Amino acid sequence: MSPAAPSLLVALAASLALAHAVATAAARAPGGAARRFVATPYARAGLAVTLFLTLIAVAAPLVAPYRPSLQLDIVALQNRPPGWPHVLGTDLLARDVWSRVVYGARVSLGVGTLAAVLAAALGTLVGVAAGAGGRRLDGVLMRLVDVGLAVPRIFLVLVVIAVGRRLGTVGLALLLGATGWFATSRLVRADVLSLTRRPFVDAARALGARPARVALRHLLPNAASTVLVSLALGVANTMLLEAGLSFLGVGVQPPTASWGNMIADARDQLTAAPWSSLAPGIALTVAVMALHALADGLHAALDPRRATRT
Amino acid sequence: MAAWLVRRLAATLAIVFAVLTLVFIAIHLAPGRPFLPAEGRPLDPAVAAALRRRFGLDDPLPVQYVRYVARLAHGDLGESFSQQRPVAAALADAIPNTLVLALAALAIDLLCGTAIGVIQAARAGSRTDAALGAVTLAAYALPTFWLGLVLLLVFGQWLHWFPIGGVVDPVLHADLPFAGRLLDRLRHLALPALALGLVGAGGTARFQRAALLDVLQLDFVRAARARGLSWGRVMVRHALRNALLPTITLIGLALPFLLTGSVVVETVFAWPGMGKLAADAILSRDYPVVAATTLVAATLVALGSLLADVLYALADPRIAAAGR
Amino acid sequence: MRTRRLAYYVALAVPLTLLVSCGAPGSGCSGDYCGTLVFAATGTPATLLPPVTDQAIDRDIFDQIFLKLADIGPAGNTVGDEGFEHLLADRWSWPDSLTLAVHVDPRARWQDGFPVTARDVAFTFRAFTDSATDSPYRESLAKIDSVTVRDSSTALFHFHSRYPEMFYDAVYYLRILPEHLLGSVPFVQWRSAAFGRDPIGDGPYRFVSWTPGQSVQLEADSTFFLGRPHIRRLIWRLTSDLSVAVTQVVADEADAIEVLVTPANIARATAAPQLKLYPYAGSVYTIARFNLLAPGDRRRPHPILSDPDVRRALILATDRIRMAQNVFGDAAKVPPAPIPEEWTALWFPDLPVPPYDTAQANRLLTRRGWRAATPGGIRVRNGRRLALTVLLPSSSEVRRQYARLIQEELRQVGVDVAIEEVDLPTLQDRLARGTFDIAIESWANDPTPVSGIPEMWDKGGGSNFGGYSDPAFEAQVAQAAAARTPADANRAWKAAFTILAQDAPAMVLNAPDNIAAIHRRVADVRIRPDEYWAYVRTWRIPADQLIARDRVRP
Repeated sequence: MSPAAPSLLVALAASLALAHAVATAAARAPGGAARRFVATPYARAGLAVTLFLTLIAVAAPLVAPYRPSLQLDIVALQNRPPGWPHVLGTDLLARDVWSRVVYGARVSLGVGTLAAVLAAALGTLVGVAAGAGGRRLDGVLMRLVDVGLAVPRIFLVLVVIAVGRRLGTVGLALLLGATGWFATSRLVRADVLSLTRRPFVDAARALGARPARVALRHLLPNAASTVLVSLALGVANTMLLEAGLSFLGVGVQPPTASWGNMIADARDQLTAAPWSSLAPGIALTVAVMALHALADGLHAALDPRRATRT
Repeated sequence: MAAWLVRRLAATLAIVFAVLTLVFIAIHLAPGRPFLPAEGRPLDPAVAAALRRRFGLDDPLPVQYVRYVARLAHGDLGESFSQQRPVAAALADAIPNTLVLALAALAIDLLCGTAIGVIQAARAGSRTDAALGAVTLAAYALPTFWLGLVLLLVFGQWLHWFPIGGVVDPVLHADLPFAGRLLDRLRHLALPALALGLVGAGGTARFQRAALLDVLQLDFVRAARARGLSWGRVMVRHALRNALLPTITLIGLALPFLLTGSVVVETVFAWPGMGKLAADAILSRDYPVVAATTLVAATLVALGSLLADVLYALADPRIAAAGR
Repeated sequence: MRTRRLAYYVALAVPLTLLVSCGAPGSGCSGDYCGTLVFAATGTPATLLPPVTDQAIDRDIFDQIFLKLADIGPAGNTVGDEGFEHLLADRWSWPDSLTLAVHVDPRARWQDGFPVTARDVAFTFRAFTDSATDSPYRESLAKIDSVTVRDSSTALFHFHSRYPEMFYDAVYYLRILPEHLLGSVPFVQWRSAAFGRDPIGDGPYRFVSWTPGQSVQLEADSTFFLGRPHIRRLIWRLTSDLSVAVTQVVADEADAIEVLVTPANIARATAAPQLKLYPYAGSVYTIARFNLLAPGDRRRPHPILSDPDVRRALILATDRIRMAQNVFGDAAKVPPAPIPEEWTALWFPDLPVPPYDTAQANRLLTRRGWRAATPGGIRVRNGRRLALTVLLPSSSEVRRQYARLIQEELRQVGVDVAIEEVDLPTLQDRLARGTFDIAIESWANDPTPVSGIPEMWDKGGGSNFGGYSDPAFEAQVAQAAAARTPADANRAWKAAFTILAQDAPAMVLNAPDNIAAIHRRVADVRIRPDEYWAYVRTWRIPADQLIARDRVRP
């Protein structure tokens, strides 16, 4: 059994200190971005919580006292309320809830991040191509995006799942990423369009720079702020969507613990063992809150033209 | 204006058609035999073959596509494998329930969200603003199905204030007077609408706060305040009018959220709407139903955004004049 | 100002009074023939036409609408023709040893007024046994050659040979159908026939309505020839899972639920003051069946599970008793053979049941060549990993729990188990094709083992999905089926089960108790283990116990 409590405290302290240090130091530096970040409500808290969750997800084997699928005494330790040594209690199959929440962070955050990165990459690619690639390409791509935006994401995912064979966790993440880039592409395209009208781009083109080079050196960095904010929001939305899919039974499959399928498993135990669904539900809510707050902060810091005043 | 409208309509139609084709491709990629009884032994091969012939599943793909489009034009969406009846009939039963739920949730969403957003904007920077900000952030982050489960547990099972699920009480409803039937429906609608609406309200509040902040900082508002007008009158006269356009945008954005949320919320509350139909269909591999619900959902979203664009253009004539 | 405020109050008061007054109980129904019984049901009915479905929910409903010729009595005797309850048949006789003459009660009427005749009986037999309807009951009726009509009220059953349960086979499965309404519908269309959604029967209740996804409603037929049912309305509230159904019963939105299954549900029902719990002999057992043949290729043996020692090791490695306790608490037992509690005579105390012994399991696996590269790792033999998939339906909470318990316990002895949860139609398909390694199956049973056991374990049996075949076992089963006395039968069954235990074609998991929860106000409750609601037409709600939903105006 690993030293759960001490490592947890260390991780907590580390991420809080880190977040505070980074934010405050950057705030003192000139530029204003960090200052705006710190001034956004809850942005620092969001950053700290996100770092904390990432740390415990990465260090899961150190933080969790038990394997997530380990069934302790299936008769005597079934549905035990929170206490010692099981700080969040045990579930129906006598598994330690805290360990499952920690490993669940790995899965939920992992799926969310992988999907969001894929979505951001696809969205950027399509957005840049559409914005800088000429009228016809723009038209075709934006029609595609319109179709993608018209179908609510969950239906799109359900159709693929219905038709396809069993997806693994990674396959699920890729599918979620492949269905989540439409809005990002619109935003990136808007950025690129406004940028291509600037003189420096015309100058680059006049000097003979190839379109790809123009894109890489000039357009992408300026669209980066949009993409970063989309990324943070994308992780949050994908985590919620994955949780919903796992709840319905078509997301992450047991015994792999994801916060969504933990809530589904615990649904019938709401009266007998409410902690086994409260813990993952609260964890998920907190994670999504933190990511939204982080996204707000990033938006304020990186894109002051469109950010709201406080 | 008219030309713009025609172009928008054509675009909407094109989107629906594209979704239709996508859905057709998806159904025909589906593996496995579609004809299976719910329990018991599998079908006799001869019976299965007869059923395949009857449904025309052995014809070449383009022929099937044309037949599919023709049938859709007549309102025939195929037959549900698990319910043994036309999908259109199942949808006809389900869609009104989802629309009722979506409208109720939207009402809660807009009313609560706008109210909170307005208060936050009015008190920007204060502790009230910060506290409400945390509340809206939390509400927006809640998984809808989890909120539904918690509401069901607290208000349904523990307090018995609201019923556990369904649209009406199957026993008493038919024999109640009109007011009683209305109350019965409202009681059943309350919890699912809250589960969807409160989460949406969180997002709406954040949106409205941002939208109103700009307005409220404007000079003419400051001038009005300086002249001694109360906050209330400032709100009504200037701010809310300017919140109209963002609200229309919100309604347009809300529809996909409501349809997505309906899939899980309806499952939690056994609300027999389109979302639950889709969720049940995916578990029983009822491809026609999954395909049909996707098509209907996409059509609703496309129509909703068209409606939002039209309302927006009506509210702000500059949009239509500039063209799209 | 005051008048304006007054106007507000009035404007508010009027709708409020209307709303409040709607809740007050009106005059409504009173007396002995009132009552509404609401069943909390899980599942989606497919059709109410008997031959084409064997879903429990469909059967629960159509058994109130259609009648059999006769049914087993409360004692559950299935041998000979003593103790059977007269339903559509008011008398029967044996003109010779292979022919049964059944006389239809002249008072029996279809709900559209036509009389029930022997032609309906013959038609029903044809419908149940024709390959075009592909009825799940076809195999059970295989020993009956044909049913002919002697005169308008006498039907003749012609048997292939003599055996103890001839009468049971003739009457238990056939729900008599109206030829004048169904004769024109081709059998191949029966699965989706409109009659199945709007049936007309001859039973104590008539069909009223079916709101898909919500409820099915039946109303008592006051002219029912065997006696008017006391309870006026039956309503099935349809939910998609057990836990929601239990919640409805506990919250007094439903009156009855047939099985509570889990300890959590039993606790909730016990705590509900308006409910009374009725335990009765369970009719279900659950097994984890091994596929002895190669998945997808029934000519070759399974690469891992065809070895009986491996199968025995897998059974030894699972603590079935504690798993049953985890899932059911005290509400289930682990039977010595794949049998439900209902078959009490077959629970032989001295059958060789494999214990829980991981050391022995490890030894067996190692002896058979399965060795782990690292301690605690997955075993390998000739380059093949000891990896198996467990198949089960996603709709069963209990089986999902078992799957996870089994997965973890088998991992402890070096077996890698993956879980595959599929929907019911896919499950049936996979079982029929034999594309599985281990499948967790739950079977509800007839009152007699004679048809069920051969179907499950005889070579060529309709439900023998694992390809198990042992001639010695089949001989003992045939002997048991033909035995003249219960003692002879039991001896043969015991020998058969001993062979089964040694061959280990399946892991026997549980035989749960059935506990029903029914509202306290319902009197004269009797529940039959094989068909829970068989006696509903004799239940009553006393006139002084009527509650709001009972008084609904007829």
